[in-house]
Amino acid sequence: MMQSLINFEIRYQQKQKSFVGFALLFLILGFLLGKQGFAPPNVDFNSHFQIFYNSALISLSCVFPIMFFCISGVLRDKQYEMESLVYATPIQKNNFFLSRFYGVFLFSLISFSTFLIGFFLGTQMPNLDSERLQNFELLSYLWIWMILIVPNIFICTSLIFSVSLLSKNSLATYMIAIAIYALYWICSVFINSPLLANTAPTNPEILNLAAIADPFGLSAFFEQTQYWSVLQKNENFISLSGKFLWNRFVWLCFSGLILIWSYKKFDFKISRNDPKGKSAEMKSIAPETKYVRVQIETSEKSSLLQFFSLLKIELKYIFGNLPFIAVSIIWVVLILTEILSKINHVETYNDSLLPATNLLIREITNTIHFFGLLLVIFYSGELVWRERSLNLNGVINVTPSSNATFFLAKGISLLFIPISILVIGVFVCIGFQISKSYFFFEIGQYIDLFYYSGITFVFYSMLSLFLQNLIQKKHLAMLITGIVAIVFGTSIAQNIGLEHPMLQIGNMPEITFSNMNGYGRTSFHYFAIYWLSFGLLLTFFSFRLWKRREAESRTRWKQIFSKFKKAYWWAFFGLFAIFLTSGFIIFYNTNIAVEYISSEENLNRREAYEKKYKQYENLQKLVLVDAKTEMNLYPEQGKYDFKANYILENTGDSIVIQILITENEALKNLSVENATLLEHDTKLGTYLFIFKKPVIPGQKVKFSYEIEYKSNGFTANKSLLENGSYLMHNSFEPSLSYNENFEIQDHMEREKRNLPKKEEELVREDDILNDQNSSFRKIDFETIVSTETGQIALAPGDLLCHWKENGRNYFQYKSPHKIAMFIAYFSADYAVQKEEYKEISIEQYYHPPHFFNIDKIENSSKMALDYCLQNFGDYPLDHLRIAEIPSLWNFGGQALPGTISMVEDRLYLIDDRNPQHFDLVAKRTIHEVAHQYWGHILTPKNTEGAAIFTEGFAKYTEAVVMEKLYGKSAVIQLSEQANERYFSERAFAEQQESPLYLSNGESYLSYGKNYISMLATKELIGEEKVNSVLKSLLGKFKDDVEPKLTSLDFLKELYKVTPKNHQNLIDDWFKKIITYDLKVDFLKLEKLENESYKIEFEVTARKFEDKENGEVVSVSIDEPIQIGVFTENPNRLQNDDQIIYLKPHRINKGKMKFSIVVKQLPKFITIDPLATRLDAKRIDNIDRVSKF
Amino acid sequence: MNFLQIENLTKIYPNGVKALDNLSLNISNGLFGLLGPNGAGKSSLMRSIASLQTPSSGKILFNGNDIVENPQEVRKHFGYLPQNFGVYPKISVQELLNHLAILKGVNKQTDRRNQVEALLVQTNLYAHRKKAVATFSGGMKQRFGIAQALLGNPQLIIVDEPTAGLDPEERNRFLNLLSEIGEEVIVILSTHIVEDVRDLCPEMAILANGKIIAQGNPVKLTESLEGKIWSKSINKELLEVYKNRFNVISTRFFAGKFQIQVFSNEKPEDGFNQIPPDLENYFFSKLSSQQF
Repeated sequence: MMQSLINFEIRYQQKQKSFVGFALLFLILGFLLGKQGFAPPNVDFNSHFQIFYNSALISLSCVFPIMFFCISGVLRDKQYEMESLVYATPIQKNNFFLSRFYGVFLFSLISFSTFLIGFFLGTQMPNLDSERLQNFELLSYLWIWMILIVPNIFICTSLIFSVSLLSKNSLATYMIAIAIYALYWICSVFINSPLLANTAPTNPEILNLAAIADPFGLSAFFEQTQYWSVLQKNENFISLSGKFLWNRFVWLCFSGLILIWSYKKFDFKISRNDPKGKSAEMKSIAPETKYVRVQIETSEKSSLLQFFSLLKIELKYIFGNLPFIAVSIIWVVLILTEILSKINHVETYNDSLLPATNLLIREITNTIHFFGLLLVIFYSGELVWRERSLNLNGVINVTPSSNATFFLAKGISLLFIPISILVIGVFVCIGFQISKSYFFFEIGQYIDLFYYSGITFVFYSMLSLFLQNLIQKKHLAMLITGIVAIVFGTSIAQNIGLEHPMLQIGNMPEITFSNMNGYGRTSFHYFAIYWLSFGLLLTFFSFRLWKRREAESRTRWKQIFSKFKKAYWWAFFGLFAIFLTSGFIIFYNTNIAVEYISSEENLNRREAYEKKYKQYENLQKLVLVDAKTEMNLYPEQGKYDFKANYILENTGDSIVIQILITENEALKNLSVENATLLEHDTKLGTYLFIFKKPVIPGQKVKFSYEIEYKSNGFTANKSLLENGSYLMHNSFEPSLSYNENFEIQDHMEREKRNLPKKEEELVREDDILNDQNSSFRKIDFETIVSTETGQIALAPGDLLCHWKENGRNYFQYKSPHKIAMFIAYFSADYAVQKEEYKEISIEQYYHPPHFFNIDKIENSSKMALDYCLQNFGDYPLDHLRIAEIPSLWNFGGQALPGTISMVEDRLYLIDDRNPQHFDLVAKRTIHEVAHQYWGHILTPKNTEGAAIFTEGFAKYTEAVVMEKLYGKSAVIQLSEQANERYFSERAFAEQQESPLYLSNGESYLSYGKNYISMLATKELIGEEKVNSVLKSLLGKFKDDVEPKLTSLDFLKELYKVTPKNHQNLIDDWFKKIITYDLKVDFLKLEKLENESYKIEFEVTARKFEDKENGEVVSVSIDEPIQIGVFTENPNRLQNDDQIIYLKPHRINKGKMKFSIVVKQLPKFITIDPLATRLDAKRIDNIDRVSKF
Repeated sequence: MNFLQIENLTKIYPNGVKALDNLSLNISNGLFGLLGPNGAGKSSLMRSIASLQTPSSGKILFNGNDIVENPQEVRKHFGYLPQNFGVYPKISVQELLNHLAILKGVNKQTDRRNQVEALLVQTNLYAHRKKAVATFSGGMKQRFGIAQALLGNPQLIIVDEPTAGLDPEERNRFLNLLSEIGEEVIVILSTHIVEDVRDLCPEMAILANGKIIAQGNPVKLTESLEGKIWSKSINKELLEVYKNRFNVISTRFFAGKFQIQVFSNEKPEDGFNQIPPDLENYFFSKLSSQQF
């Protein structure tokens, strides 16, 4: 019996088109993913790690095939009204249950497993870098199949099958599938999963929890591999142990229980309600009315009545049903978590952002897009086929209502879905703002959201209605619409060669909103018209294809143009004309007005550039020593004119004959003194000049050029905005030599084009001393910046004068001393706050509504200046400017000489109202102010290890000033973050790690290890001694016109103030790659007589070194490390009074026992509480002190 | 006076089944019974007339309007009760009838209200008017189906197996209603139940294998068999023997005995009694002649 049932199930499912479809889909998906060669740097494409990662990621989408199979496997009896037959047969409940489950599970598993085959085939494609491919290992695939795919499919099948079986409702089945999928992403957002490629590291405590809670095992996978090196990623198998084993166990048990439960609940009976008895029939007194036929009309009025009656029925169906209510709840949860996770405690130090409307909208837009599209696609199928699936079409379709009425009612009701999604979203946002007592609702922005997000929905509604009408198969049409949405909504379109935005169906240009600039110039409206008119054309066809009767296929196509009324022709050609016109406008602006460069063409040019000019790479260079510029900004019109007069100098010791200039923006009136233009390549934007007489060492040459730039809104340019322009000099100025950055970087691409391989060289001490290539000079700088009235223009330098001319504002800036050429021009409608402080004018330029943190920024600047003036030396300028720039920039801030740019949402919109929170405003301000000393006054040689002076010293200053302001708790938070950053980012580093003093600006070293090493040094030798080193370096090197300071100078100074016996530690931290594994275990607490406590504990300490060959070896340990006793968890410290004891102890053995006597009742014992040692597992550095 | 003309109608489904085979038929006001066994093509014909499917070839004209070419014009005059149908869940009879009345073009609210009310009364659903149709039993649903078919101003009412699932009382009410209406409009009654046609229809046709095999007034058609139907009680095992020897048109149990009816111009053999023909005899004799 069972056997034959299963066999039938197999035959049945096998015949379903969806089975073939999904099997193919996953095969193709696997193939594409395999062929794409997607892996973190240096990890092999088909390493076990990578296959696992890909499979796990894709396995999230296994809910969709399962959903389909559940509908065909579980709901088919109801759908085809077979229930009464099936349930009347002698099949037993358990046989029925098991065979159906088995069918769904087996076919979901088979169709998904093709992914692995596809992936394997993909990795066999010749386009992949063979060096990053391992030999095929069947076991690797099988293992993943066993521990990942089979359980995941089983878990998802159990859940979806149970819902399907118990609800006997296809919409509920869709919803549970989507809910699993959506909830998964919510959780990823919530736990800040590495899945989302966030830079901020995942909190280890949360990851531990997620590792168990995640039904797909992805988080457990991340937990297991989070600190894996490249070598491990290439060689290790995922082991079925630890959290991963637990995860599998817990979830398999859980799904088993769910199955048993649903088996118990499942009622093996017909699901229809019992008919109400006849008894009621007699009671009611029927009025005496006689049936008469009544006249009918087919007028406009009847169409209108019909439309609304139909709409009412559809809307009642959509909104009055449990699935939609469930969807709404999921939706509210989804955006709330999204907002909470992106606004609340988002920043690395648990700080929140102000719930400004634009930030909320920014966070929910993607979710709205994804969720809305999903619903539109599902409901379009449900709505179009509703009467047919209810078998009501016979009744409805014979009525004289016109096709247009039916069609419009369906279409409009479909639009209600995204609209309601948006409305709910807006209400949740406003509610959130109120809960945060933020009352600037900016309703206008919410209304705009309907336009900017709505257009896509309108288009996709039209598209999916069209596809439903064209294909005439509900699920197939849903699938195809989904594929269209995925292909064109993601980067897949570009990968298959559909790069041009006009070909990416329904894809709207990304809009960027900032409070300063609003939406700015955008081509959005043109694309809106373009896609809407296209959508309306589709709608026109779908309306003509509307299926009112079963027709022969030839009649169906004839139907499109049959009985074509005049109005139809007008509509058709009108739409077509709009479509063509908007298309032409877009095409003109993307391809004719400006040159359209496809990514292939871009690569071609890079290749040509390298081939043609690589020979000039080692040409003796002329160096910029003096720059006078004129920048005329026209923000309203989106253009600027720029004039530059430079003086270049031959600072080398050989003559210069030629100079190669590579433009960034098209140059005009380019002139090089005493030189003739040898060659100008308009395509590559290069100019090769030959000097009439060679330029001898020390000789100076005049050089000038102009740039006229105009933006048309079709090419994104975040530099030049209507309000809040920020033009960085290096973004448009030409390079005065061969520019290596133009070379193709991708190994594969280079190989394909037969370009020589780029070798990474190991940098050694001598190299940083002898590095001549990177020599640059501090320069004299002077500029005149002009902008329209109503805006203030800024640039580095003293403001010499300011005047108005021709209705424009002019500002002349000149730097009083030589500066590093790190220049930008600002222009915006700024509010200004100035404060004279110790003869320095602290000037803030900010967007007027962003007044929240202005005073705090000012105070923090004062604190930072105070500390620097006291400990390091004079501040050479009479001003310190801090200016706001729009949130389109993705950095925190930039320190130009004397002028700091800070980004809207990274400083001005931080919610700093809660004094308990880490003061991120102060931290960021102090950091950038510190850069005035560390980077500008003290400028290191531009070579490896320079980041110690810039970021290392700035982070150090940040820490000491923050400690002055907020005590040790601030330091601990900074340290924890730096430590986390080091370990999480280095796991994905592209190159082998170098020691600090030879680092190449990798952010995990610059902001992570630099800080930890400086802090460790400070705790080792004391703040005063560190400051004396910094001060003496400043004294020696600040007047260098050609910066010569290297990390070796720093180490030399450091050795001088460090006791002999600890100098090896300086080497450990700065010249080697050393990590620690420290651990403390509480042993005993004893109350002594005089109100004091004796605490005993054990410290485990291990120390490791990464050797040059990538090997990690254990090294001996002998150094002072702090031990702290606290009354509160050090990570949640509120003030320094909670520290009972904090002193360094000599740690020189792997395991050591200590006992300490303290005056207060201790709660926590820690080793290295300030996180001065790099330790991947910080959590065991703390142990709770139990009672006696 | 309304006229429905069907000319050379053929319907071949994509799977190759020929449901209608060059069928021609003329119908005017009054109840028209379409009798045929299951699978004869009745529903195909009904659906074609109701313009729910297009024929492969042939024409259907209603009052001179081509239903295939211009369905919209004819839809104004349709009333259709499909053989099987479902309804929206959670919508009451009254609401649904009101909705369908709007779709049929009954614009005036009072008209609508009165007509819906009258239909609710006449289909005996008035007491249940607030209940969702989806919760109805088969008979009640069928009554709703009849009510909706009569909404508006139907001139061409097509009812496909209308009495299925109705109890005798309901069936009588319904047939009365139909015959009342049928005086002024065309009512096509498709059924395999001979009594329905016999009791009501002045005009009828028999459909088999997609063809009309007989057409006329039921009484006259029955009269044509006068003296040609013979009946005999036999042992059931001997049926095959009789079948080989005689034109057995039908068999039945009568008072516990197995009876066969034979079509023959004279007495087939001893033991056969001549019986007065009824429509059922006619129907079966036509069908059996069709098989040879």
